[in-house]
Amino acid sequence: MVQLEPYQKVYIEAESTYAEVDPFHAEIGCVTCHGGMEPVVSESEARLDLWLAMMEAHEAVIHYEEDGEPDRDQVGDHNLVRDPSTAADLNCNGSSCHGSIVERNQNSMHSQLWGEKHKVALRAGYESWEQCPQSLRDSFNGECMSCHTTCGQCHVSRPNSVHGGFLNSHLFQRRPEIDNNCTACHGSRVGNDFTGHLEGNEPDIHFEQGYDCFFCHQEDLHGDGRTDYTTRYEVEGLPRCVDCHALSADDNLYHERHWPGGENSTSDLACYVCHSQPYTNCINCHTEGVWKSEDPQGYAEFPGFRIGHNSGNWPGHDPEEEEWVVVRHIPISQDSFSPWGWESLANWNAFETWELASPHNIRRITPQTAVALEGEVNDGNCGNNCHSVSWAPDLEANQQLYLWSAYVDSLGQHITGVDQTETEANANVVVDDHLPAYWTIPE
Amino acid sequence: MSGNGMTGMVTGTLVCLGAVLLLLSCEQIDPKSTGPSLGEDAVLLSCEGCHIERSYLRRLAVDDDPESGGGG
Repeated sequence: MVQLEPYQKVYIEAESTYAEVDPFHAEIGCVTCHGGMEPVVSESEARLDLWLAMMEAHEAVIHYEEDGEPDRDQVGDHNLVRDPSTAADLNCNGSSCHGSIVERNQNSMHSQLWGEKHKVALRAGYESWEQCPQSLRDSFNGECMSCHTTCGQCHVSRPNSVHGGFLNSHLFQRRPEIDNNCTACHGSRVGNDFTGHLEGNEPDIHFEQGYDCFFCHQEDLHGDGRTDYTTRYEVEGLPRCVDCHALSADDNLYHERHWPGGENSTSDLACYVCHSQPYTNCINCHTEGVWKSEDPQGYAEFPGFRIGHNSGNWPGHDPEEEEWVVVRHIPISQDSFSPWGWESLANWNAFETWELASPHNIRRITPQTAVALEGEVNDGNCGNNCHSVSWAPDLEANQQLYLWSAYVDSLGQHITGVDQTETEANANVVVDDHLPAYWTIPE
Repeated sequence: MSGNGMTGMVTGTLVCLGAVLLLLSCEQIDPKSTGPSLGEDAVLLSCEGCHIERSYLRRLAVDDDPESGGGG
């Protein structure tokens, strides 16, 4: 994502006053939330004088060079509150303006990352986040929590992860923007999937039709006050394909055979198995910013599409209804937290490293369903593009759609050049022992 | 009218006159105003006075958050 120019980040487009942009919040006054000093005097419009006035307004400490000149390149050393919503209970609810939302949002997924905390605790060998040592919690809070998120980073500015900048002249916007907010954080997976940026993919049909995130995501992103979430899939009101597409249960042979929980289904597939395209996977993330390096041993992404067996570990996705799901490798390794001093996660195998995925690149026709483009679909040809059977036109391609145990074992060496033992963690997701006996397992 | 009443009216008038003069001498904070007490070139700046003036920001703004980054 291209950053805004520094001046653009703080520019308010108005004739003479911020009240033209947002009369309600203008009444509060800048210094009420941001601190600082207003007004200030600039001796002239010369740059140095303006700079000195700015430093005074921002209550900054001026550092002087040896020659007595002020160091005008200094940044950040001021007392202005850049994002007042980091203290939302004081600022966003200062006059009981946004009380219930602020209160709930303190425990929302966006604020707390409950799912990640739960998995960190399990993998580190603890039963809950609260039982984790303070050092681990502090490290997580200091790094992983740093970009998740504040009121302002959704409603006023771009998030910190893309270096901020006003969305629209410091206008408070009820509805965050898909490109400047949602995908600014959820970019490398959701954003790239949704817009079709992964090579060879088409955009998600919902994006192509002009829908934004909130067309499907009507759950309350400010949370419901719960503090015991173990995964984001527990959130009430998450979108479900059948909310809109329930009438499609028997309109073609694929649906008759594979509809999730369908009466006549021979094997139940999550909708994504047929209707999503390859998506971004991650591996080997390391903390202390190592993941930002170009070194794949610090962090790596790779495209892929893998069908796994539903382990039953994902709330809201009952194996009785979705026996087969698509899975994504998550950005973890056994030594992910070694830069924090946690050389190895004690209970590394506590949870899958191939997790349930919801790729945001839905199409009616995908490589799996493209058979429908070639003519009538019948029981003889419907599995041509996905079943691992000897008579498939391209057996090898079909086999690459599944999460085989051999693939799990070799992935680390293949992607990062480092062996990563994940067999046990994914024992309930690999497909080897769950497919029909007549299907072919790759050598 | 008693002497006290006259004195009170004069005092009240003076107070009102003083208040009017005081108001006249105070300039409302205008983004680029040059107040009478600020000297010929001086500029009295409010927060928005600087943040709506693109030329000022272009001269002053630097990236104060170069180390942030990420996105999943």
